[in-house]
Amino acid sequence: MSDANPDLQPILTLDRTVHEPSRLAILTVLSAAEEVEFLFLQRVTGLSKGNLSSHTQKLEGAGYLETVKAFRGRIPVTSFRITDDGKVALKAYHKQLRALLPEEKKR
Amino acid sequence: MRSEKACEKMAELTKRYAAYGAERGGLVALCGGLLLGGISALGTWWSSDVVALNLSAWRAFYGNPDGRGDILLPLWLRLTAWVMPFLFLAVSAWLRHRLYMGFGRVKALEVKQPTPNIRIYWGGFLAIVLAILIAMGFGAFKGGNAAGLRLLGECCVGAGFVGAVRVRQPRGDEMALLLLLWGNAGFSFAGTIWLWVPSSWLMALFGLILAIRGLFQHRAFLELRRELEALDPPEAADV
Repeated sequence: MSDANPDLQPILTLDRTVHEPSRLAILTVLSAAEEVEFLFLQRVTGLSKGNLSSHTQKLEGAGYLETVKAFRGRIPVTSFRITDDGKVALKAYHKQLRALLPEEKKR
Repeated sequence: MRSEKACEKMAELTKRYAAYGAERGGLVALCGGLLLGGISALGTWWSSDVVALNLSAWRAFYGNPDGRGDILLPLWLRLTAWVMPFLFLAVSAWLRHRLYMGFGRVKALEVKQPTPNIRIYWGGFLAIVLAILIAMGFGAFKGGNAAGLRLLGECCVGAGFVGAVRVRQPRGDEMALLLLLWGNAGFSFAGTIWLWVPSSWLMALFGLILAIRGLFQHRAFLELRRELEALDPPEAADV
């Protein structure tokens, strides 16, 4: 890391938990609502059940989302909500990405 | 890598979807509007002979030949009017959760800081509800149950029309419809002619307007559903 080109430093410091495309998609969807059910998250991100579970576990491990388990009648329902840390991480990630863009492409 | 545009699109779809569950269920307004319009029109049609008789005799402000100025609807119609608000509540709850959350439930972002406008509106609304309860108790105490019901009906219709002015508030249309249905139910037991005729027609008109509005909202929802269905199906295999 210390031998890396200093120009690449901003890219190397990107939060890899957020940078992964599927996890970025999950966090983006969660940031747009208070609480999102597994089924909707699966539909809108296009991920399989297994992939979605594994990515949400990683995000939960990083403290970026929390899982809410409930029952609707006898059916177990899993929902997710983004944590404050998750919101901060997503915002910081967007900021970092924008900073990496050439001036003419920034909005 | 997913582009920023794709992320924006996902966020936008989520917000729109959540909004339909929370406040813009078009079919809810459509059903409520039809129920309100239907029961108002039915009551008006049923009582048209009595109303016409009174109006032709210039008795609208003086009361019926029995001297009370009430319109007495048949029992089945009164019971139907009382069933309507409950039916509407059940239908709206069912539609919101079953139809509008078909891809899984999504809770919309909460508005953390209500604007002063919304605060004034809700404050006013709560004051009206309180006034209804006081009026009901007072009316029942002074003039028996019928007078209490009449006051309840009149207050509910008034509150419903106040609510109708702000139908753009979250669930405002549902709230206004519910109040008007309660008002109609109150009237069905003890409505006075001079309030009955204009209120019934206004309620029927308002029900029709909300039903049409609901139809357009539902069409917009169907478009959203098509967009969600057109998304790539979930991957078959886990990676």
